[in-house]
Amino acid sequence: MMRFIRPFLETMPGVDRWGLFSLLVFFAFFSGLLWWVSRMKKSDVEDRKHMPLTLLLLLGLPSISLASDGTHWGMRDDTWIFILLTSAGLLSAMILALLSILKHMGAIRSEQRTKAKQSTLNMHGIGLLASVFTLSDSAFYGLFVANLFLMGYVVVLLDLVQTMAKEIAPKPRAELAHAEVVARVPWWLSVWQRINAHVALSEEKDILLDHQYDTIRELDNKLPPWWINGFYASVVFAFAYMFHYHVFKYQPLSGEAYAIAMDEHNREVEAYLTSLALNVDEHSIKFLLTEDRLKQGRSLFTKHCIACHAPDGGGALGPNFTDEYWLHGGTIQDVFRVIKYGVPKNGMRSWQADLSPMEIQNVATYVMSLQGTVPMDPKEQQGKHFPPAVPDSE
Amino acid sequence: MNKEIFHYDNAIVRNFAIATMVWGLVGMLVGLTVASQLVWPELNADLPWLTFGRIRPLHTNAVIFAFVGNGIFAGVYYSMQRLLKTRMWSDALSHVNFWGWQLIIVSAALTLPLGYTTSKEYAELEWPIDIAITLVWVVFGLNMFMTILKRRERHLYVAVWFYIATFVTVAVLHVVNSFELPVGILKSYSWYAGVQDALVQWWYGHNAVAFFLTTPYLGLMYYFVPKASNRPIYSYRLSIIHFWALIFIYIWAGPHHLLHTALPDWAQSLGTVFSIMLIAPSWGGMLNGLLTLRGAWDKVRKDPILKFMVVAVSAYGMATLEGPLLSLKSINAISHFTDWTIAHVHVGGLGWNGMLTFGMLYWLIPRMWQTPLHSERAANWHFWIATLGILFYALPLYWAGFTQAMMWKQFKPEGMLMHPNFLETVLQIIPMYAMRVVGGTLYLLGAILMTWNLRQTMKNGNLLRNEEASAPALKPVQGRMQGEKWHRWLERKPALLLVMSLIVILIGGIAEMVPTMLVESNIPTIAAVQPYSPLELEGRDLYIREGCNNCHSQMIRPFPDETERYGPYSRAGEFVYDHPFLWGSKRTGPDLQREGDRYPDSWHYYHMVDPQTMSPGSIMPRYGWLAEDVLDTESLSAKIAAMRTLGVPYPEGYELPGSKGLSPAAQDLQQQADSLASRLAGDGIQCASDREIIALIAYLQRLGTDFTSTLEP
Repeated sequence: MMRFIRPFLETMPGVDRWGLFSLLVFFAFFSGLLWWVSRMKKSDVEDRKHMPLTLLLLLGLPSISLASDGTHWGMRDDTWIFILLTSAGLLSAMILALLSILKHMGAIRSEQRTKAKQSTLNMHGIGLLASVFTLSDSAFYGLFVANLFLMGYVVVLLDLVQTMAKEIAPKPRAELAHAEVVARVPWWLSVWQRINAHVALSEEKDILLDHQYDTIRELDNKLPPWWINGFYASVVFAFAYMFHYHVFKYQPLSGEAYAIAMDEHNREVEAYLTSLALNVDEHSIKFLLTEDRLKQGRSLFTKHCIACHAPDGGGALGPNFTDEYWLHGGTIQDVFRVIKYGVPKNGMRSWQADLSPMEIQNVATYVMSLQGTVPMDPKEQQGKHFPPAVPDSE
Repeated sequence: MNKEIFHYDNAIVRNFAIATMVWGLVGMLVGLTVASQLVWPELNADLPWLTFGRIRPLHTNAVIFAFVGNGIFAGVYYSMQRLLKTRMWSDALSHVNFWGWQLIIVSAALTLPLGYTTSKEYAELEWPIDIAITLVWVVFGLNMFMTILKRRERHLYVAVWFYIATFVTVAVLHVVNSFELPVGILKSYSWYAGVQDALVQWWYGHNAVAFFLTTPYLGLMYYFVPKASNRPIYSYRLSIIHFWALIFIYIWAGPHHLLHTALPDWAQSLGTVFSIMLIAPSWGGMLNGLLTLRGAWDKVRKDPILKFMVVAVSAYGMATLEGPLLSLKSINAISHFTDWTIAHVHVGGLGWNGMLTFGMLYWLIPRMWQTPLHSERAANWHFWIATLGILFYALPLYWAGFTQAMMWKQFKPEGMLMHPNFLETVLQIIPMYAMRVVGGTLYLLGAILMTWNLRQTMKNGNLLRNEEASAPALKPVQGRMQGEKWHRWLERKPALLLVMSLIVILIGGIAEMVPTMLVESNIPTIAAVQPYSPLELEGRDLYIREGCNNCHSQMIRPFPDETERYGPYSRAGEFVYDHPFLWGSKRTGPDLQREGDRYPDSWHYYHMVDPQTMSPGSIMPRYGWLAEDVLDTESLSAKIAAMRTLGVPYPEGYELPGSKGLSPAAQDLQQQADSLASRLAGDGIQCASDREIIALIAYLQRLGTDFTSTLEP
């Protein structure tokens, strides 16, 4: 499955993770629901009859039983409080860090946009963050959402701390007795109640409103804290979003976004086509005496060739390159071919496993450039005469 | 206390319940037919009135307004009498409501296949039917409101708030979106053009989902879930908050149907953020439904009715989470125009509306007929078949949507599209379409099983037409009662509640529509964009008649792949003469915004007569009759005049007959048709210039060329 998706994802800027994420959320919840409904057995019913299925969504939250006398899972509550507070502190630090990253990204984005306008976007020098996040929308909003989740998590943790602190405080005897009753509630139920700020089923008559409509009664449970806080968060998001796009203009609107996307697309294509051009062979090679070709050619020649052909190309075991006589042809195409495939019966080895096509091209160019120079100790003429090669025009 | 004796009207509920079942089967059967046509196009038997473009709107209208609509009335008429402790105010109005609504449905079932359509989604019905809808809706509202006024229950239960909001909002939506100028007995042009028309339409379309498929059903949930589970509603204060938040925020979210289009960016962003803010209010409803079942989950295991309701409410929660996610621009870039959207709406439609309707009917009918359900086992089977059906329906379409979007966007490294031929991306997902047919079949089988089961139940029992009840009359109260909080006070002020709902729902619509209509910078004009020629105008009306917009968009989004595939992206100024807009919402075929001059006329001719000759494997219907039928130009002058009234600058007198008897418009039409026919003849096609296909080709060849002509050097 992933093999099918991945190539698509990689070709799409900015939309890579979100589609899958949405799908996964949907599938997870819906199949979770079905799984839950289908696997219920009669024996489970008694235990589970109060368990709302949305609990499945919240399994990631800290699952700490609230009903006890000062220890949880073999650890004292004050230890727990310490751990929870520390985690809350660490998480807060992470939030701050993420916020600063977000801020930094905003700056990078506007910088990149300015550069993109000049259509010479240069990624170097912007630093590590830029290379990680670049212009990807999904990274930006991924962080943003992660931050929201973290904030929610911190709220839950602090809430737990508060509850536990209350529990540690000395209690009157009557309440202790009550606590024992509550302690029989399974852990997930108490967590669930805590998360939703439910009134327990056994006590719901306290919040039953006194009216009824065609026998329908109404409880007056508190708004689930995660729900109302989520609502607030979505309102904050809304304002942040509008400011982001329409006031601070951190990200471009559709027309400009299109121009940037087209730019990026064209650059990618261009880069690819350029890479094709570098992929030379004995047919496509052009004879150009450019300085960078000669420079790399010389250094490769010095490294690999002087043993047989002498440092000045005058020849030793191998033939002389400075005269107008060639064993296997005197064009740059011929020279390229000889370097690439070698002439094993004459002792010339193949270099294609060692040198990239571009490097072979540069060595061949350098070899051709030696023609007409005067070596210290020239080897005798070998092969046929070829007129000096003329460089191609660009 | 003096108890008054009165009787609930069950007969009207019976009528609506039976209509719900019957139209449900019809609507689903039509749906199954259109779904099958995507796999086997020949299923339309080359009959004009069976082609996809004409009966896809029939399916949507039938399931929304006939199936769900009757479901709403059945549930509202049953629950409202009991929640207000009174019979409906007027039996006569109840009957007008019932028969009027059925008449509207029948007229829809007749006109849509015949090609009488406005092309605006879920508002396709032509102007006389629009007026009928308005009248029947007012009858319903009047009857409801008078019933509220003569109630014996001091406060209004939350379900009734939702009914009130439904009534007032649907009325506003329907009236505003249906502003159209008639040019014939069954033909009209939308008052708005292009971008404005699109905004109004999707403000309507989105809120049809909100206030026809959601708020009334939330009202039903608030009645039937506690009834069926015998549990108190989870939280009164949650219902207050989510009610007001829901109706306020929902209205704003319409533009999320137009992300990445020529709609101004600010309006698109509003659509996005209000969709995100909508998650919590929607989930408030889900929570109040699911948490009401707290302590009753053992019953859910046994009772098929509660099972239906649990799946319904869960599907509601899923769809209302997914919707906002689809409103994020980055996700929308993938999902829009694909089957992802189709899957999404069917989770809502089949899951939320369908399953809640089934649960409600299984609960209602045995009670009204005073006998147990004929077969609980069959109801359980129905539940499982329907649930499986939803999965088999939705999952392949999610996959199809995702696959197709990815294929559209994929480039070769050399910069060309990986799948330049749109058809490739369609053929890739045909297997998913086939699986979707399986899912739809399962769901329909379930509904058939239910119909049989409930019919047997009716046979076994006796309908209690008038159900006796008693309650004391209300004594009038002055001012605030002791300890009464303000919202509690509001709950016994139905008129105030109605006015407040109206104000709350008007804010969002006004805030988005007024600037789009009035601020000129929102739609920059393009000088080269000119009105359609008379022949093209007639061709455009054929395009509308055949429902081409059901499969072809005319909206190129600003993405590299789209501009590579279709040409320069769409600008707001290109649509200023488009009454109505034809942007479309789904691409089963390619976008046509820049179709002009892309192919020779002869290509279009052959393609229209038999698409397979030009595009082997195409699932587009054959439109042979276009080449045979003579173009009806009788209303040409009415059309030109109407367009001028709407602001399209045709010259004065253009449509009036001159000295030779023909109007300049008719002459232009004749001339353009003749030259097109002779071009076809040059390619060896003998086609008289008065055939419909000539007009349609003329329209297609015009599409998008005004703007592209400005780009060429």
